[in-house]
Amino acid sequence: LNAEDEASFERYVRERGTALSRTAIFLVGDVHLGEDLVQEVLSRLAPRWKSVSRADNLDGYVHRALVNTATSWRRRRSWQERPSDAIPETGATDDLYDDTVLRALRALPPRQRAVVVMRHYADRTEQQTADLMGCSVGTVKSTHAKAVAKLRLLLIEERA
Amino acid sequence: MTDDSELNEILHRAALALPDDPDRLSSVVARRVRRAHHWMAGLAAASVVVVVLGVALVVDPGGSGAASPVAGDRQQYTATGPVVHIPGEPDRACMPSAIAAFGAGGASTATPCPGKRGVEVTGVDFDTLTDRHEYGDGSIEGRATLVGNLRGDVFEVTEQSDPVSAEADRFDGTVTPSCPAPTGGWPQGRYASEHPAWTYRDTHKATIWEVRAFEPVPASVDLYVLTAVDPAPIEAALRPTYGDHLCVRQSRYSSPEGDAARADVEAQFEALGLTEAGGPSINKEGEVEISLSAPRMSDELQALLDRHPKGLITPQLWLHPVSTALLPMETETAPAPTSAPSAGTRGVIAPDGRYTLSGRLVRVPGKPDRACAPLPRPAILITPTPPPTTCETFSIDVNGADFSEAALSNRFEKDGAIEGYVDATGTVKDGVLRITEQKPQATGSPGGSGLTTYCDPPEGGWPKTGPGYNPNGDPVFHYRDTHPRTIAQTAIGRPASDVAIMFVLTYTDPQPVEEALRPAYGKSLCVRQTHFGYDEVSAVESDIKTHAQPYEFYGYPNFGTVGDDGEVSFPIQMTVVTPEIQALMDRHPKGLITADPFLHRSDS
Repeated sequence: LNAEDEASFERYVRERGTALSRTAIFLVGDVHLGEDLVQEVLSRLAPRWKSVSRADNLDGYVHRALVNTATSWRRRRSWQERPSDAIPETGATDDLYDDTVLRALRALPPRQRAVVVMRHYADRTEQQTADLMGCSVGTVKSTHAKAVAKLRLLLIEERA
Repeated sequence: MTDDSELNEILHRAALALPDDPDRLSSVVARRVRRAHHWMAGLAAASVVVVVLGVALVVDPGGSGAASPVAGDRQQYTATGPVVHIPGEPDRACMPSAIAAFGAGGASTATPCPGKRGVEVTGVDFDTLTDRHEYGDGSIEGRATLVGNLRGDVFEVTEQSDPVSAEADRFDGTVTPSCPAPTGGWPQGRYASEHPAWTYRDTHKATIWEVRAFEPVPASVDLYVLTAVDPAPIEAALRPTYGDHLCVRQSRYSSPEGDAARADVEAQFEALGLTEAGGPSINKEGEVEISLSAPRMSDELQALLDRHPKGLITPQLWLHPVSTALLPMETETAPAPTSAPSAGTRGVIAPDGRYTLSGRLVRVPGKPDRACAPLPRPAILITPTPPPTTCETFSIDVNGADFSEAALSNRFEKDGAIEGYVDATGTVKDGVLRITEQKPQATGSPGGSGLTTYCDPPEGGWPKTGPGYNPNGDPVFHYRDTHPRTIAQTAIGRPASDVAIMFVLTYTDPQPVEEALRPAYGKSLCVRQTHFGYDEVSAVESDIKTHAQPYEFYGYPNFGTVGDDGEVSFPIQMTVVTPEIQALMDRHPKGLITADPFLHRSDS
């Protein structure tokens, strides 16, 4: 990366990092895994930032990368190996907030979770969600219906 | 929860409670970018690394350690990635994808790359790391390429260097499948939408592996559809929508094969010590792959690869053996040396013994003399730049070599550097070849003379084409591209110095191929059918691709050519025939892979 692209990348991460982190956390249903997911995706996009940053819809492009990585079987299973103690620079841990929603999201299969997050947190339309997930609108609709039905049950159970 | 808007609110409200630290994110991402870049660069430049880091052999008499995925096994390894030092903790070398261990104040965790994602390391010089950073608490991190020996769970480093700096060979999802151009060439612009293809995939289960955009020529974005079944009905269904913006290819692998491989990897994930696995996905060449990451190759992992079609599962390894069974066992009980004075500058690549050599000798002022493979390129170039360098890959230090004009054939001298060809005999000891007899290499006739033994000249003899003439390859390449699985190899045959013919090897009946090409080449054509099948040749290509890591291989594979016998051949250049290369040859039909070492053992 030249200095200009490097500055552009850093600016993007600073401006959009929080939203991307939250999206990633929802996509995997876990704070630490989500942080690692967004780090991984951004670090993979960084060397190509010159072309990536010219995308018509940059957030959409990054969301697509997040979803693909999160729903891929190729996820890093050793995420689970990460020590859960002594991570002082982490801003929050799971104990600091009500993780009811994350636990409910974790109960969904990855693609159902991705559809829910894209539709209800990232505010993507059905068509946009289909595009970034590489499937048809019909698949998004059916996946969404199943996910919402399951979430409804899960959240009711949590509240009970 | 009653409707969509309530779910929107639930998620957005939950998001407000999540961590918010973009500065930290920016810092960590920057560090990971550096690591990832150099990891891939290390793989891409593996052949360079291995020869630069020559070291002596050390084996571990007690370190079998089968319980650990990163345990000593009598082999010497090299690894590229982060190295971390935390006061009061054992130093660690980490897999490049390991999670960042450091925050702004220093170490954030006592074990930066736990378990199989790293290994305890000794002998690292923390002052000379690349991208070295020292924190206030005394923690240090940086990156290096390490060579050393595994003793139990400890990696004892004997050599250390900067990670090779090269542009990362990163797969960014851009596929470049081998798709023949439509008759009128690839159309400009792009197709309208992937949705019709996705809809077909959704409604015809297990027929399509992947739908992906690709750009075969500039300004033409087209749709690549990789099928798991006969592509004809799929192409018939999609062609009306996409026209020439479409390439439909059938994968080498069926859906059940992909499912079985994935299930096997999943089942063995923990037992094999894998750190990542994924797929079936599509690789850069547009073929299906199931990928996995592991600290290093093991017998169990190799067995898993062998249970499935060649090339379907692609391992990415962190620790690469520098050499294996060539290591002399008599040093098994020797203590670990602190340096490698007697191993030559390029590593131990041939066990002690007597050898014959048919290759090059290279002398560059200030560097050890080297004996090198005859190919792939001269070490000393005629052009003013770059300055002379010794041969880089398949070579060995020599002493006792004669560089006089009488002792070398095709001798070339520039700026005090000398290169020439010899036939010689000598003795290898501790990685250095001492030449005892030497004579200029006999200059044989150039390849192609054998052509007359398997291509009968036409009535009236081969047409004279003049010296240096090359037949136009376009007609045969076009035929190959429009008739998949028909043509195995093509070559220009020169039965005489002023005769050049197009030689074509087919998988199928050669007669229709010959009839199709005869108008283009006239009498200057010879078409024969290979003894080998398409699947056999494809399996070799996949196997070589999978195992072509120079650390495993110690050879330079050629991806298919025509051998001296007029058959499909995969010659591998190398220093000596390693057990790995022998095993590779044994896995495939005899004669399909040929070893081309420049050192031949003469005492065993």
